[in-house]
Amino acid sequence: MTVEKGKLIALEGLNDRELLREGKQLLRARSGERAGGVSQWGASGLFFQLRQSTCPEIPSPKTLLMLYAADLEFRLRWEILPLMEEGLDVVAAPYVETASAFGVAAGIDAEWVERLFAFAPKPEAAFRLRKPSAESKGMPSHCFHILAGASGHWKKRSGIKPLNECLARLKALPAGTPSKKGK
Amino acid sequence: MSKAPADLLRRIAQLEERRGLLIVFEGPDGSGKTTQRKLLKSWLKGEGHEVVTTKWSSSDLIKPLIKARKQVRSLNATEFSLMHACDFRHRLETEVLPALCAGKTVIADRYFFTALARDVTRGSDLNWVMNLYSPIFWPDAVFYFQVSPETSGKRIAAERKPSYYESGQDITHLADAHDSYREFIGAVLGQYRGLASIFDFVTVDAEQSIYDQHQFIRSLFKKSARKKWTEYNVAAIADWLNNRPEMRIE
Repeated sequence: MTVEKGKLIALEGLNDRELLREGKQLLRARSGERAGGVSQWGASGLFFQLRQSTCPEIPSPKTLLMLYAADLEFRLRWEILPLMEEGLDVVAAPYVETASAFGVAAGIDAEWVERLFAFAPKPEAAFRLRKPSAESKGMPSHCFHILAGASGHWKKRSGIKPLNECLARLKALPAGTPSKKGK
Repeated sequence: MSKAPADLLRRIAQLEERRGLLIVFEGPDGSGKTTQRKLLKSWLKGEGHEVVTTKWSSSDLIKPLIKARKQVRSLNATEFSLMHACDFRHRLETEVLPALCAGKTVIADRYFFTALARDVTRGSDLNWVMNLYSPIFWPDAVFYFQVSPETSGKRIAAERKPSYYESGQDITHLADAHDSYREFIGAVLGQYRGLASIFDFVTVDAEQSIYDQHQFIRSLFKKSARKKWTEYNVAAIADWLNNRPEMRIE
């Protein structure tokens, strides 16, 4: 008997803790017994290792985006697609939109960003965190944190606030966890 | 034709005035690039140039990330492409462009053409790989060291056992690294041949003597014309300046 493939649901936002909590809720609300798990940034260990580096030159936004993409490919291979093959739903929190919004907010050409993530399958549905203004005050996902202020690099180099810009772009997505099961 | 703003073009023209040359050495492993790179560097230094060398997959920041993943053989074709593109971009932005703008000559032992040849052989889409390196920063000259797969294989075999990714075992799935290398390098050379004609490389017959190759490179270096940044590299430099406000105004 062939198992029906699970669904990929994207939940976009910047705060790791919020993403995990709301991701679990989203999965419970939509998938019930078909709930597979929540996949988060950094599973590959790339960003953890990057933060250990003593290299004085930090990566540019474009380099960081490609690292996000490498991390995402790792998550797809080892977390997301295997669960979906087993017929389970997976919430990717965050997925492509957060990184894309961040890239565009950082001044990277939107078409370049779109082509970069061409390898990532389209999610069944995409949402953003319900409280974008509150989450920006919290600890952002550490991969974004590298650019967003940990070293002061971003402010020094560009003079714009990428987190807020990024959140503004994510507002196009529906907010919050749907209360009813299914779509 | 470029639609860049006038102040950007002016700034690029300013940088152009005192910039150094970017010379690229391309070709498969065992083609003698490193030997020729060292000879050219010594000769250029003797001629009064300040010379900087940049090697493939060598950035302080990204190299350890790649090395760790290669050791455990965890990279698939997509990750392999992305990680090498990260390393290249980081070196371009933090080593190559600053050195060129300071008037130094940069010799790159491999450039993004290596990624095109290897990644496409690994099954990545050519346009997707090109996008990773876009906007492309065009070098002034590319010397392509042409060698047969047999010669490349023999030279490598005489020195060492090629590593898992170097021998393409991730895609050939052959148990023997040397067998895999011969199969893999044949396909990579096929890609290089196409690139050499598309991108107008200067082909060096890498089966010739070391001395003859060096003389040939010297003579062509003397004749080689600069690629005008204001014509070829506006988008790439604009991209770089976007993150380097200290470089924007003179």
